[in-house]
Amino acid sequence: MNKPHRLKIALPNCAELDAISAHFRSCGFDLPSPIGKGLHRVVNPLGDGNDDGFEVFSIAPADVGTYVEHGIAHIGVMSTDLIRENSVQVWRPFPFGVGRYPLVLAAPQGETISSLSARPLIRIATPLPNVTREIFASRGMAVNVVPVADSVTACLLGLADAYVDRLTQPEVMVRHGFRVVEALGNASLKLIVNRAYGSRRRKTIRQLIEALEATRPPAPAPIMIPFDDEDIEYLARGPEFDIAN
Amino acid sequence: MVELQNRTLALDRSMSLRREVAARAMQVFAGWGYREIQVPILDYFDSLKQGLDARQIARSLRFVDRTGNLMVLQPDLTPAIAKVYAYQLQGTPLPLRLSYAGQVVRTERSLTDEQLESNQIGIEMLGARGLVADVEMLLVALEFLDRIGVQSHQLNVADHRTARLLLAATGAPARIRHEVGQAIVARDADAVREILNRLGAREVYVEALATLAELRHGMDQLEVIRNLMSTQVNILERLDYLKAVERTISDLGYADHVRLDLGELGGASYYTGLAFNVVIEGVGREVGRGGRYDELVGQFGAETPAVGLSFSLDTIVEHLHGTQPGRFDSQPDDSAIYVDPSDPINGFHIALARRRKDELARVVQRPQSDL
Repeated sequence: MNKPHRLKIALPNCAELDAISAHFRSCGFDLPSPIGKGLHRVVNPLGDGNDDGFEVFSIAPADVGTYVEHGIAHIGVMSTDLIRENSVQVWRPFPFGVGRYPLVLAAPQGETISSLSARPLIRIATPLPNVTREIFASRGMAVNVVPVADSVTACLLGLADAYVDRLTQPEVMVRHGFRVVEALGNASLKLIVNRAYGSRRRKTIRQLIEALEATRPPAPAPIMIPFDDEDIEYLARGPEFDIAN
Repeated sequence: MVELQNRTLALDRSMSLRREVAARAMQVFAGWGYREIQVPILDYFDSLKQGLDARQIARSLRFVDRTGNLMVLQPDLTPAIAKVYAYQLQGTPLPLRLSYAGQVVRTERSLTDEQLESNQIGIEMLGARGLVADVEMLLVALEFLDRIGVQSHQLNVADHRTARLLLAATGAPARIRHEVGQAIVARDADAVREILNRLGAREVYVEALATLAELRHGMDQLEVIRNLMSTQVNILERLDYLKAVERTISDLGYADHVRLDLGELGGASYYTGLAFNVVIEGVGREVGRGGRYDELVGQFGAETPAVGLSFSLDTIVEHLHGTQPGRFDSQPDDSAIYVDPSDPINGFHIALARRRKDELARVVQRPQSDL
C-alpha cells in the first residue's frame, strides 16, 4: 500500500505556459523548452526526502482543476476565473506573477450599465457562463447569458449586447470599439493542490511553494483598463477582489 | 494488514466490502459504547431546515407529498440525529452515545462528489463537552481505520471556535466572513489578506487569519497566533486547549497519525469547536470528518453540547477495492447439489440438510433431454 507515489503536476496549455514552465525550471525542474506533449519525468529538486521525482504534463486549462480535484494530478496551475467557473474545490496556496488579468464587463463604446439595463433583455456573451450568471444574479439583474468561446466576435456579429471576459489585450478591445463598463474582479494564475493530497504531504507542498517564491520572476505591469468615461475616481478605485472568492 | 473476509457472497465485490466495512465500523462503535440509531431517509423539511445551512438546503432534494407537506431526503445525518434527540430522546441520561449507518442524498456541484446518494457511517455523542469527549472521537476514528487495515491515514485537527473568534474580531459582515472562511479552506493566504485589507481590518487579525490559511506546521501556526493575540483571553484559551489536545494525543502514541492544521476548516457550518478531517494516502478526497457542534441541538430543543464523526463508506470501499486483492477464486466450490426436475424431493432434502448445518447449498438443475 505504501508504494512510491510519483507526484504529478498538470500545467495549463495556455498563453502563459512558457512563463510557468520557465518558473518551474528556475526552481530546478528539468523541463524541456517548449514543454511540448507527453509526460515529463523529472528528478525532485526540492530535497525533501521524496526521491520518486515528479511527472509534469500539460493539458487544457479548464481540465487542470478536474485532474487535480480527482487526484489524478496532485498539483496544477489554474486561473481563478476557471476555478470558480468549474467550482473546483482545491487548495490554491500560491499566486503566480504572470497571468493576472482583470475580469471585465465590456460593451460597445457609449454603453453604460443603465443603458444596458434599459433594454428589455440584456444578452451577455461569455466563455464563463456560470461566473457571469452568479455575478448578475447576485445583483438581481436578469441577463441572458450566451456561452461562447470568443466573446468579442459574438458581440461584433450581434449575438450579444455586451461581454464578460478576461481583459488580456486592452488595445485590441479598444480597436474593435469596445470599452469596459465595469471591472468585476481579477483572474490570476494560482498553484492548485488536491486537498486530501495536500494535507498528507504538506511538507512537499510547502517546499515547492518556498522554491517558487524564491525564484519568483518580476511581475508584469498591471493591465490598464480602458473605461469609457475615463473618470479618474472610477479608475482610482481599481478592480475588486480576486474572482476566486 | 487486517484481512477482510468476504463473509457474504455478493454479485459485486464492492458490495461485500461495503457490508464488511460497515460491520467493522459498527463493531468498533459498539466497543466504545455507541448504540445504533436509525433515522428515516425521508423527513419533513420544515422541521429539519433549522438545522441546515443555506448550502445544505440548496443541495437537498425536496418534494411535496400527497397531503402537501414539503418533504426532504436526508441531506446530512447529523442534523437529523440532533432533531431526533431534541424531539424524542430528551431526558435520556447523558452523555448519550449513538451510532448510525445510513444514506444521505444531496446534489453536488463539485466534480468529485457528483453522486447523489452516499452511504455514511458515524457516531454522535450528545451531552458531553471538553477534551475527554473530543479526544474520544479521534481515538474511535483511529481504531476504525486501523481495523479496516488502512495504514497511511491522517487526521488533521483544526478549531472552528478560534477561526470564528478571529473572524468576529475583524468586524467584517457575515458575507465577507464567509468569503474569508472559503479562502482559508482553499489555503489562499493571499486572498485572505486581500479581502481583509480592502475592508480595513486590523493588521493583527488579518495576519492571524492569513496564518490559518498558510501551510505551516500546526504548532507553528499556534505560536504565531499566540504572539499576535497576546491580549485576547478567549483566543488564548482556545490555543491552550488545542495544545492540550495535541499533547494528549501524542502521549497516547498517535502523533504520527494526528496533527494540528488550523486551516482545515471545511465541512458543514454547524461545527463550533474542535474538528478534524481524515485523509488516506492515494485517495483524492477526504474519507471522513468530525467535530464539535454545540449549537445544533439547540436549533431543535434545549441547548446540548455534542460531538460526532462520520465516514464516507463509498470512498473507503473505493479505496479498499483498489488496494486489496479479491479472494473469490480461493473459495472451494463443493456446494453444487443436483436436483432432478422430475423428482425434486430427493435433491431438496440434501440441500435442506446442508443448510441445517449452515453449509453452502447451490441448487443446480439437472438438464432434461426430452424438453
